[in-house]
Amino acid sequence: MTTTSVSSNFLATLQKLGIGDAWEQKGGSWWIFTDSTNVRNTAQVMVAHDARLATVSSFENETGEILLDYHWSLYGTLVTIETLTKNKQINSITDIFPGADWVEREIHDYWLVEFPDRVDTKRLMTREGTPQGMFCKVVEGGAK
Amino acid sequence: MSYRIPIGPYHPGLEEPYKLDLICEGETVQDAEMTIGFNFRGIEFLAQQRNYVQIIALVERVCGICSNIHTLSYCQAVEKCTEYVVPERALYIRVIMAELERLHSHVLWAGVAAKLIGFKTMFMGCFALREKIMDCLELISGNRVNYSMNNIGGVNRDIADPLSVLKIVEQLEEEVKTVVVPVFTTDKTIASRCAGVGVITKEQAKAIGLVGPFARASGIPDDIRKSQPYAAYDRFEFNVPVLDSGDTFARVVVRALELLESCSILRQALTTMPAGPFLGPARPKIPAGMMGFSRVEAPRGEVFYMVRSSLTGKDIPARVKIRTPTFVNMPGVRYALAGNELADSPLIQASCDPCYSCTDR
Repeated sequence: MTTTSVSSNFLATLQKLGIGDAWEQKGGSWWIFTDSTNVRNTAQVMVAHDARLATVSSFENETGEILLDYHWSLYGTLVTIETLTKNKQINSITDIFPGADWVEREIHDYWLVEFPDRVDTKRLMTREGTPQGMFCKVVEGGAK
Repeated sequence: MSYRIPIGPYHPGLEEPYKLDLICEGETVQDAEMTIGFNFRGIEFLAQQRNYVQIIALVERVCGICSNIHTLSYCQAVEKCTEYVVPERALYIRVIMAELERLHSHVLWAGVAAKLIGFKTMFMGCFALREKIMDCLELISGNRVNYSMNNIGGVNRDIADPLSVLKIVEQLEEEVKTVVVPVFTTDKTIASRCAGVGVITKEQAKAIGLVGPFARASGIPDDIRKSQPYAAYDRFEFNVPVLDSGDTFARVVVRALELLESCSILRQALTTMPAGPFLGPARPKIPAGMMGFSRVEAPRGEVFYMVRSSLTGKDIPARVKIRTPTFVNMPGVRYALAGNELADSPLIQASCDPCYSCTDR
């Protein structure tokens, strides 16, 4: 099979997941944007297909909200589902994929994102007394 | 009545600083709580203050054992932002460095495991072998730890005489075949100390998202070199050892068998390395607003890098995300410890081959 046919086969697989049709290939990953209200649904779909959450990467946009990229390894291929927090909040997926625990705590540490449905979001990397949100532009000493 | 034993962050039973609170009933561990972050250096944050080339030296310091894999993964992520085509010879050199690093990391781990098992002779043997691998890395790169081999668009140094490296690899392979693998796969002392200890089932491994040899010892056949081949891995024949028992012994055996596979890959790469340049003609300009993702199979499992280029076209990335294997593997140790003897806890933790320098970044 050629690379193109492998890609189109995988695209067909992605489109059957019911997450959306607007899949693109970006920098070595399949990528799609979805509303933050879908984050739990998409996680459930991924886990149902035996996917593994590689990690969640995060980036602050110009409005101060955080872009969260959920990177899943689906049948060995990297798939990225991007979403944007609302009022810096997003639902937790740890009850769907327990391996998301540490990365959610890290995102809370670095970006002050709240996970309202978590029992607690203990610090992971920083210690008491260290200001959280070091990556946020609005925090004094945060990323420039 | 349960009681809590705090261990660390600095303790002879831990290879690196982290804190472990073991909740025990008698001599049996019921649960464990982990505290990390004692090596936190803010490397992702620092990467947002440096240009693309300066970051190579920065990410090389993420880990002292698998420093090469971090520069490889970072350079690949940057190259994906530009769809840069790396010269074929450089791809082979990247594989050779990565496999030598895997050998040195697995042999180091075997030494640590031997020490914890109480097999001091094997500990000495493994560390002596590791010295030879590090000598080989020095021969190629000029350095024993931070090799400075990877660059955006290729590698910094050629391997001018691959056959001289091959001779060393063949000697290493002989020692691995005749000493390391037989001892770790058949020795009764090791089997009796490790079999049935610290079990993680396949279901647990999936739920936590374990990677690398830790996952493969629990029946998950995932290896990025096979599932999404990078560098020149798709040119070589090799097996991915997988075992189902999920115990410490399975982790020992998987790593031992991986030593043989690494030697096989090295032999293939060194004998078939194509001629040509080892670095592209010019460093690519990174376009604004691009993303590049890279996954590589480090000795401890999948390393993930994401690079997001500046929105204004500056030579400084807007974001560099690093996810190391121990970050996803260490939560699994909690499951592995539960129900086991307190005296086995150092070995069970070590069987994950944790690296806190990586994890904390």
